Amino acid sequence: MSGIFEYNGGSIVGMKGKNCIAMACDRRFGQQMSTITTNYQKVFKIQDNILLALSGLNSDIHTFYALMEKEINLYNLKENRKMKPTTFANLVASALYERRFGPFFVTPIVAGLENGKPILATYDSIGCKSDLDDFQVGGTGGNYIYGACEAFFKPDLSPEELEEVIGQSLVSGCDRDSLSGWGGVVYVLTEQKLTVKILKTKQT
Amino acid sequence: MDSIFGLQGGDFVIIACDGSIAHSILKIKETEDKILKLDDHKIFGISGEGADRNSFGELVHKNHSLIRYKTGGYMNLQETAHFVRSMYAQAIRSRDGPHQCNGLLGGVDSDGTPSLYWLDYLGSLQKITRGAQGYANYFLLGLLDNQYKPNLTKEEGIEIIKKCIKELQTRFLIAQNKFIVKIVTKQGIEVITI
Repeated sequence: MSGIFEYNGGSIVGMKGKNCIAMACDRRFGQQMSTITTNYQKVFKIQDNILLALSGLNSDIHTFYALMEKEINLYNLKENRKMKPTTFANLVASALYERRFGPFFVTPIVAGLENGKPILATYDSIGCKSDLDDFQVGGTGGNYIYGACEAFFKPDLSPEELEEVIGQSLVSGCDRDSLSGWGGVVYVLTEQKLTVKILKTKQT
Repeated sequence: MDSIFGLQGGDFVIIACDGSIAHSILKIKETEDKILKLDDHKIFGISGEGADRNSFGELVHKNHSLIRYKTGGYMNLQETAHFVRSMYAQAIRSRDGPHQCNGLLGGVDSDGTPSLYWLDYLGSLQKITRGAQGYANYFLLGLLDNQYKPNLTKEEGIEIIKKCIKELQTRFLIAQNKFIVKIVTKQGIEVITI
């Protein structure tokens, strides 16, 4: 299988703003050149203040998401409190490393708000956490989205501006990547609410 | 080489399969039923080598029955689809390797809502309104996209399936003469051979 990470296709991107975070993903699910559906959700709400985006192999996205749901539910039951975003970010890293020699073929991005402060972390498939940058990308269209992000991004954007910037970056990136696209979904999380918007990309 | 395809309408789901079993250049059988009945309102069309198809089919059927006994008698489509997916996903990193078959799971819940799910051997899962497995993808996805509209009636659905069958018989290199079509509605499962 040449490129297990490229088998199903898909791109994700996360950004930090002023007391807000945004995540965006494309909507394509395919089998190499063939597209199966165009409404495939890759960003999941783990908790009111934590979003998890996953790109890579569809099967492992389902499995890893179920695993993280289980971990956070057990944590809530055992500790009788919500999990902090930084804690969840560490949990993702260790869950990935647990499978060091038989990894999940996913590249996650975690984004959250801890006491109003934005948290963003990305990982490789074996759990190397990187939380230093203000925007992160993943998936087959990642490199194309990086370019657009560098051009459009500024620190401390408001939620409305952030939504615009992340949307444009995702759309520009996905329009160039043949394995991503067929629409985009943008999630913007502030202290008060989570807004979800669906975008149009080139329909190919 | 199997063709499995299906679509979901307003209150029904149709899954169709070709009936042929072949060994190299020899066609052994033309009337093989590759769509498994999981219960009175769920069907699972499986594509793959005969042995894998039969063994995985039996595994799904029996485990599905077992879970229903354990948990109170009824599993809706979403639960069943995720359960079958977990069987696929668990197998990919197991000693024996993945179950070498793909599938389309469809049915109608007790409240009348139809659903169709696309599953592949790695454990990918997607809820779809129309789709196919195998080579049929290349011939039929365009046709299904073109003909499909929301809230199809059963008669319209059967017409579309007939067009798909005609398309395969015209353009697919491998001659597939007989197709078995199963339709699930709130009343139950109906079988037609085309």
